[in-house]
Amino acid sequence: MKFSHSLPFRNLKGKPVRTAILILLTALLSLTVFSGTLMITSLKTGLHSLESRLGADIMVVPYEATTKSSLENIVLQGATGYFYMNADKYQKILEREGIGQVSAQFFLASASSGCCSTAVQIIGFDPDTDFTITPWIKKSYGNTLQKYDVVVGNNLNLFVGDTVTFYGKECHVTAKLDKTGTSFDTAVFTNQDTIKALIQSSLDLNMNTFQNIDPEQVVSCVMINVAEGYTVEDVVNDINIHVKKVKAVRTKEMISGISDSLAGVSDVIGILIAVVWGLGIVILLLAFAMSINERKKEFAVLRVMGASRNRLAGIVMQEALLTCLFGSIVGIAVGLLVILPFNQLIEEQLNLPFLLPETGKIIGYVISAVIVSVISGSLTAGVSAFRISRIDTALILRGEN
Amino acid sequence: MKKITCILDAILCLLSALLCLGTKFLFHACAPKEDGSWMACHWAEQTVFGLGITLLILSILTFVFKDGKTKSGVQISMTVISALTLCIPNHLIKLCMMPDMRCHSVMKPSVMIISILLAVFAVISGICHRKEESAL
Repeated sequence: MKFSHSLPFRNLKGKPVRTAILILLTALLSLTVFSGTLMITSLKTGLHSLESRLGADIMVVPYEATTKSSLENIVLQGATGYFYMNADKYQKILEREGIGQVSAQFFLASASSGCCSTAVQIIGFDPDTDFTITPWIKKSYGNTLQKYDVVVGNNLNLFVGDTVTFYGKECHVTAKLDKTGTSFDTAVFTNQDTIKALIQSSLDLNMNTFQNIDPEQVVSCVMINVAEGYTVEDVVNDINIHVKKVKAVRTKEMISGISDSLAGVSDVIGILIAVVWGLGIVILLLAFAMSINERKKEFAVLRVMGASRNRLAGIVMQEALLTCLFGSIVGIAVGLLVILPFNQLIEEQLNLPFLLPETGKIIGYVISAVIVSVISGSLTAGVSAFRISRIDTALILRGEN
Repeated sequence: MKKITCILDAILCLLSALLCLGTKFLFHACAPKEDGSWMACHWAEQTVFGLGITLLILSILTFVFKDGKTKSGVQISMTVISALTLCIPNHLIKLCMMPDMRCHSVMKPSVMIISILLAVFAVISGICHRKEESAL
């Protein structure tokens, strides 16, 4: 028998409003569970990505940078800005005990005026010593960066082969990085020769807020990995005590604020999922019960015509299965249509690292959400199916029940 | 069947109107620069608006035409135009450089979703009109 001629399908088709309401309810359930799970996972993936991108135990910055709150804005929030300290601080840090890997970085923000193609954060690194950016860039670009070569973050609308102008200097885009869900997606990376030339150019054009600096004699921050046998705490304290006018910060401390916000958002989403899910189940239970109640005579007639109790329960369960399956697909489709294209907007509104999981994982969530919605929908219908299989045909047909 | 095709045609009409009005008032591209000049995304917005008007006229025509084959022909053209609209932001006409700008975070996904819905509903409606025609 063709599926479209089966009794459950014809029952659903015969009552389009009732079917539409049931589909809408299950769609809401699956939308909540799928979207909520995807949001929480994306936030956690974003935080994990941020942790791995920072890639160092300690970050040493000029003391003024920490007092103006520009540090977190630049490093974590993606704001454009820069700060500098004398390169002799870098030498002094090198002399301290407990320093394992160490590398200097240079920051520069391009302007959005005529000198530059766009306003972006430019991060320079020393390829000989760097251990935080190079491993990550190597995934997208295997060669060594030449002067005026830049690697661009994934979200920038620039592609390999493009030319971008910063302070009158034309730079060549040699690679585009994978998406990280962090502020690095909108940054430009280059080697120290290029960034020093760009800093000099910004000074020549009188567009740098630091007027009296020599690009060859400054660094923006120093990234440190602690040597074996030393604790991060010890090295941070040692630098803060012995190296003047700098501040050593534990990178884990820097992202603790983000972790707290993320935990808060995750909790709210979790509670919302639980509340909507609970309400949805109760409403679905009532909807199936009311629907079966008003169809008692229909089932009694089927019983008189020879349908077994199991057959009646089977019809109810098949109808529930069909509506739940279709509803969950609709709900998940809506969730995908909102979260995937608008992920950038969501990231901006939440102001937290937000990185969608890989396609395989998203497919896994889709399948799980369908299974969970279908099982819960079918279980709620199971109560009504059990009741309808126990009906007293004679009483119902006489209109006494 | 006639009821369903009527609902589908009405949905197409509403989606086309949403594309036209939304591109101008709800999910428009970035504002002009301080000197009054427009960025590239403005031209993407204008093109989407023009295609939206074309889609709206075509969707209204499905109510005017009586012949099912003509209606499904109109809906095939609507599918093609919707696919073209989908390609406008950032593919055929480049948007701004920064992803956090309005054209990237609001206009592009909104146009994308409406265009996909338009294409899907146009295909379904076209098939329904063909079925309706062959049933007569």
